[in-house]
Amino acid sequence: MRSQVIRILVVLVALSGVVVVGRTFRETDPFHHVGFGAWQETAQDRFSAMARRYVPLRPHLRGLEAVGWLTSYDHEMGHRMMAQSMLAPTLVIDSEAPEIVIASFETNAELDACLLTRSFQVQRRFGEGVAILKRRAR
Amino acid sequence: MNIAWSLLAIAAAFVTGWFLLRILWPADQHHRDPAAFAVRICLALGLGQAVAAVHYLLWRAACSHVGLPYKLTDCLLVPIVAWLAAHLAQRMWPAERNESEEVAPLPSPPRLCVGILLIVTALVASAALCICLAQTCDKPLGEWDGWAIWNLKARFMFRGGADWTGMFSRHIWFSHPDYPLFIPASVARFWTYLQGETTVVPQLVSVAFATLVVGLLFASLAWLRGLVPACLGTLLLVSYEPFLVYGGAQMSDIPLSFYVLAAVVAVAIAGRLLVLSGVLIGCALIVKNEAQPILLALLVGLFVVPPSGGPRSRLVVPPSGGPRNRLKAVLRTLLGATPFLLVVAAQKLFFAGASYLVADQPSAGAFLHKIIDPARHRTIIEFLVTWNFGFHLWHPFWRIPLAIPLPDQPSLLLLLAIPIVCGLRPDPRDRPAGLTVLIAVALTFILYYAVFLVMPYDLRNLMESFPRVQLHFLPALIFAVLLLTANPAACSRDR
Repeated sequence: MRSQVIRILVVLVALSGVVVVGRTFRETDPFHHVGFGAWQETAQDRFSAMARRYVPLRPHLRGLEAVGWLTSYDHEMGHRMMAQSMLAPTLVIDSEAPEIVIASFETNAELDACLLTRSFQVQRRFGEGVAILKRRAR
Repeated sequence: MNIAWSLLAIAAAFVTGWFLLRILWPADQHHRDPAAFAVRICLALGLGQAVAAVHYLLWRAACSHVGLPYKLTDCLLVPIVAWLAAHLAQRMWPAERNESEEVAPLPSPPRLCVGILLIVTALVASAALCICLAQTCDKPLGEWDGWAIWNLKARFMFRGGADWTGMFSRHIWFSHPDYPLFIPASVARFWTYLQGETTVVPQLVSVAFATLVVGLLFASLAWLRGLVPACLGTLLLVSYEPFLVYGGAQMSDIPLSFYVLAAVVAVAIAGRLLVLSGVLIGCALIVKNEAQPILLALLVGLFVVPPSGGPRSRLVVPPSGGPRNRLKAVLRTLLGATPFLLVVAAQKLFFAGASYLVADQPSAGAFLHKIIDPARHRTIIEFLVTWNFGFHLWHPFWRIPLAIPLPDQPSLLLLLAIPIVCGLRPDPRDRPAGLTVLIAVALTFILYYAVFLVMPYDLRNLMESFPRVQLHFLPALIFAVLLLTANPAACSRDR
C-alpha cells in the first residue's frame, strides 16, 4: 500500500513539474523569441520602450559629471531610474539646479508649456517630450 | 578577437575555481563517481566566477584603467597562482586514498521507471531553461532590479573610468549603494573583454546561474541519495513558478540561491570541506546582503549540530559533541568566509555607508513600534500562508460547471508530502548535515521574517518580493529534505 502511495507521489511531482513548466512554456512561447535582433530596435517590453527614450542622449552628455532632471512624471520614479541606468556614469540628479538639465515629458507640447515658466533653453530635442536643456544666461 | 578573449576569460575563471577547489576539496575516491565530478564542475564554475569578480573589483578600486595588464593578470596570472597553490597544498597535505570509503551504491527501482522519470525530468528542466531564455529575450534589460540596480552599477564600472565610484552617490539612493557588487563586476568584466556593452552578457550570466543551480541540485542529490531523489529535487525546484520568472531576470536572487546551495552541499560533504562551505557562503556575501543572515543561520546550525565523521568526511572535524568541536566547525566556516567578508566590509566602510534598513528608519523607536505592531505580523503571515498554501479553482471544461481546487504552489506542498509519505530515514552519514541545513533554513526564515517586519517601507508592496526571496533558500531546503528522507526508490522496493 505504502509503495503505491510513494509511486503516486513521484508521479504527482513529475506531473506538477510538467503542468507548471508546460503552462509557463505555453504562455512564454520561447520559439517566438528566436532570431531577435538588437534590443533597441526590436524589444517590445515596457522597460525597453522607456530606455529607448534616453539612449540617444548619451553621446551628448559624455564627460559631464552630473545633470539635472525636469519631468512631468511626478509620481513615476522609474523614468529617472531608467535615465540614470542608460546615462551612467553621468549622475542624473533630482534637481533643476545644474547647468544642464534633462527634460522628460509625456509630450512635446507639455515640454514647451513647461519651458515658458523656466529659465532654460533647449540645447537639443529628441522627440516624445525628451530634450537636453541649458540654463539661460542672465 | 574580443569573443576569443571572452571565452578565455570564462576558461580562466573555471580553471582558477577548479584549482582552488582542489585545495579545499582534495581529489579522492569521489573523482570516479560521475555525479561527484559534476558537483565539482558546478562548484568550480561558481567559485571561479566569484574569484574573477573580486579580482575585477580590486583592480577597479586600485587602478581605474582595466586594459591589457588586467586581462593578462586575469587570464594567466590568477590561474597560475591557483595552480601553484593547489600543487603546494597537495604536497603539504597529500590526499589519503582509502578504498573502503567508497560510497555504497543505493538500491534502484526497475530501470524502466527510473529511465522514464529521468526523461521527464530532462524534458521539464530543458523546457524551464527555454522559458528562462525566452523571459530574458523578452526583457533584454532585465526586470526592474536588473536594470535599476545591478546593470546600472555594471555600467558605472564599465563606462566610468576614474568616476566609477559615482555609483555610490547619495543622489542615486534608489540603486542602493550598499548592495554587494558580484553581479555588476561579473557583467562589467565580460564587457571589458568584449570592449563593448551588450545585453547578452547579463542575460547569459542570469541564465547560466539558473542552469547551475539546477545542475548542482541534481548532481549533488544523485551523488548522495540516488537518481530518483535527484529527479524529484529538480522537478520540485523548476516547478516553483518564481524560479521560471526570475531565471532570466538579471537579478541576484538565483545566483545567491546557487551559492547558498553550494555551501550547503559542502556541509553535507563535511569535514575539512567546512572551509569550502565558508568560502562558498562567502561568495554569497558578495552577491546580496541577504547572505549575511544566511551565514549567521548556518553558523548557528553548525554549532547546534556539528558535522560528524563518516566516509564522506574523510578529513573530519572529530565526531560530534563537545563545545570545542562545535566551535571548531563554526570557526572553520568563518575562516573560509573571511576574505569575502573583508571585501563586503571594505565596500560598506569606504564607499557605501549605512544600509537603508537602518538609514531610512524615521527614528530608533520605529524599530520597536514595528516589532510590536500586530497588523504587520498579520500582513506577513497572511501573505506567507496565501502564497505558499493557497488554492485556486481550475475549470477543466468550460461548458460544465465543474471546478477542481488546485494548489497555487504544488512544489511546496509536495516537498512537505515527501517526508510524510516516505518517512525520515537518512543515511547516518548525512543526518548531521541534513539537520544543520534544516536548522539554518528555519533560522533564515525567521530572520527574513524579522527583516520584513522592520523594513521602513510599505509592507504590502514589500511582501510582493517574498516569492523571489524564498528562492534564496528553496534549493537548499529541497536538498536537505531529500537528504533526510528515505530514498523513495528504496522504499517502494522494500515493500
